[in-house]
Amino acid sequence: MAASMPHSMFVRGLVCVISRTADVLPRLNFSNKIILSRHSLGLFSSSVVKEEIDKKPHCNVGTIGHVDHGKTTLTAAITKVLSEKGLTNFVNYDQIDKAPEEKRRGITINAAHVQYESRLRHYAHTDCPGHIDFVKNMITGTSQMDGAILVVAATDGCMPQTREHLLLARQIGIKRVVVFVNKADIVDDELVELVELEVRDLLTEYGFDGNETPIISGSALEALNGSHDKYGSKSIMKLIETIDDYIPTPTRDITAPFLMPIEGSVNITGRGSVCIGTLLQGTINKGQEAMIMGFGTEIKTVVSDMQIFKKSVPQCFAGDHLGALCRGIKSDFIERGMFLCQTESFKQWDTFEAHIYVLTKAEGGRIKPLLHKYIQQMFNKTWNISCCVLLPEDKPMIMPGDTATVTILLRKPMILVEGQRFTVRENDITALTGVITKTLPSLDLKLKGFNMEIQKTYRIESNARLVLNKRARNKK
Amino acid sequence: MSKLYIIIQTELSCSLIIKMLYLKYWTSLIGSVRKMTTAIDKSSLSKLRKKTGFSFINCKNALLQFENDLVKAEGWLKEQAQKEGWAKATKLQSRPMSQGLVGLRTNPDNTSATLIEVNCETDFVARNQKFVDLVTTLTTVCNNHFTSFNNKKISLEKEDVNLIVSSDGRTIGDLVAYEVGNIGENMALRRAVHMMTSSNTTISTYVHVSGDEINVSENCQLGKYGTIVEFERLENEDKTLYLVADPFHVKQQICQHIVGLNPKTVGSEDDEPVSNKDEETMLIYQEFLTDPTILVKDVLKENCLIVKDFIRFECGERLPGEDL
Repeated sequence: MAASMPHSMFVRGLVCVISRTADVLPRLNFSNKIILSRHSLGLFSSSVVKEEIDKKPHCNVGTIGHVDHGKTTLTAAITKVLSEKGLTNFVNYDQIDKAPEEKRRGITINAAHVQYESRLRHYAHTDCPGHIDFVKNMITGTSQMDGAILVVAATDGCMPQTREHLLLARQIGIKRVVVFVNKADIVDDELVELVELEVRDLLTEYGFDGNETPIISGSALEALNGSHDKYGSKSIMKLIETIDDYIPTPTRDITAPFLMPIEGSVNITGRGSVCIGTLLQGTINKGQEAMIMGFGTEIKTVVSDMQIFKKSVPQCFAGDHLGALCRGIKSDFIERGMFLCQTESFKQWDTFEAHIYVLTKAEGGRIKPLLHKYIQQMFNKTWNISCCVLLPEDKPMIMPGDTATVTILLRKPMILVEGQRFTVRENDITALTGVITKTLPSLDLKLKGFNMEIQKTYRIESNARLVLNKRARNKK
Repeated sequence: MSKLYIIIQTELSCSLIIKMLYLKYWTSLIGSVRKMTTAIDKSSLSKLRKKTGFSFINCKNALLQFENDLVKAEGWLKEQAQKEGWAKATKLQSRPMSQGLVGLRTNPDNTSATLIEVNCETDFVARNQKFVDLVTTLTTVCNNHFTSFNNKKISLEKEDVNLIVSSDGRTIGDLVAYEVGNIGENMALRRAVHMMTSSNTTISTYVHVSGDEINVSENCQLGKYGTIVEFERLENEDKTLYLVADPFHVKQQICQHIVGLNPKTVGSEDDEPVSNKDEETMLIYQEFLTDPTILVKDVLKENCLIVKDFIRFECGERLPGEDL
């Protein structure tokens, strides 16, 4: 999966599992491999780091634009120009144009994935033919798209649907766009300037920075045909350099309050329990106070010791896979799905908003549409719990194959991370897959059989006669 | 001797004169061409483009022809757009179209409704305002056309639908081709259906939108699925039907059910239900959408309704007899 990371890192016999966003199927262990960004690399305490310092940071980009404006030609041209520098394999037009159907977790997405490397970074480039393919890619992908290349042909200028392309970029969370004005060799420079102005206006209209956005003009076809003049490979090199420069690499945050999802626990009599997991963000110091939160409960504890690969360490950073000894906690109390986190930094939520995609029958999903108050099990990388899907007011149902933004209620409050992927399963089939977009205040909605707790009164009786009768009964 | 000399002189001078005339002609022509290229006003070009939305190259040619007269240029562009639209439509016609929208229009007195399907290549275009406007216009045109026939049910396929003439004299084919020129993707009106009530029947409709809400205008609804259902009210045993309110809510739910569970026929009591409930294609034997414990026929009986006929459109669905 090129949208996720291509290299596997086996170091000292253990696979480092680092994920900024939790993966979905619980059966899939250690399949998330992410190339570490340069920033967090230098600060790891384990010697794993030194071997990866030479690896380039990774970035996800995609191309958007009208069918005939040359998106595919541009992608092929980029690989061609970079292959000449020796950094990439050339992928030709036909291979990209097919945009084969790929199955990711059973969901069919039409996308072409291409990889290339510039001097500074390694890129995973995705090109999808449709809006829904981009959205499906976002929902099921392991990481977000960091930037987009908008392709506009100078001959036509902006098309009416360029607005929809920018809207999509907004929807999938892209903050920065680089524009490539294609076919610039067959029109005069004045026209190219006018097209640029138009694009800038449109970008501003859709919430991007119209003035700062870099616009490169050239001809992808010329570059693909091997021309080295200003419209050919020179323009492509300029585009790559601009992307290197303008689109930021996502970095792992080590200043954030620390948060570690607990994958398992081991009891150590007399001392407490060891919580095992991978630190998502922040740093933990030995002796630091911590909270164990999840399923509505929270308990205070102290991290008295930490071990990475069976060696005690005084400090752990984001991305480390560690075991943390929590003083005074019995391991029965700790359940998979709870989080070890910094005191007074996190809150548990039972309501959140999510972008979901309902699987079609062909993908292994439901046959019937989804209705309001759909209650099933929600599965995450580290936890699963009963959830209730509430449809928006204007939609009476969601058909298989649709995407929607819904509110989801959990049976018990949990710590939720924005950008976390999940699935909702019904018996053996996956009904829908989604990504958490934001947490919401509690709705106070009580549903029978779901989260409504009926008060039961217990009558406790005891006197001599009852006890004697009971003894007599037991004797029989 | 001198006569010959004079003749030669005149001949020479004649050719010279002709040459000079030629020279003057060409220089004046070059001069006027230079005048034309410098005369393209950048601000007029961007104004024209902003107003009409036609491509820069076309706007430039229009201004060239009419020497920066914006009004004339605009008129010429509109004429050209129709021709260019047809040219582009012909060029693109073989491209597969899997996306699009379904348009539904009900007449204000609720006695008839029209449902059409318009296809395009990508779902970006299906969400675009220009495409949405096109489908709205086409739905209105079809509705006006069909209503004039006063027919119980009309169903038209691609070739026939595209010949319908709208109020401004252009055919549906013209309207679609015009937008193909603008948007640059293959588009077509695939099919259209019209249903009318009889004296004792009513019509209910439902359109399902996939994804975000679409800007709805007038009383036209657009979406990915659409259905028109014709109901008849059955007199109940006590003959008190006139006291019971019209079960509008239940009718809407039945429409949603039809969109959601895709029955192929209404079915009758004489037919046998299929053993596997999930594969049932007859409406009356399907499990009701909002309450899977009962069948549709029970719901209908409870509300004294019969479904006489229905149409269901799913945008982009595979039709029997059509190649992909």
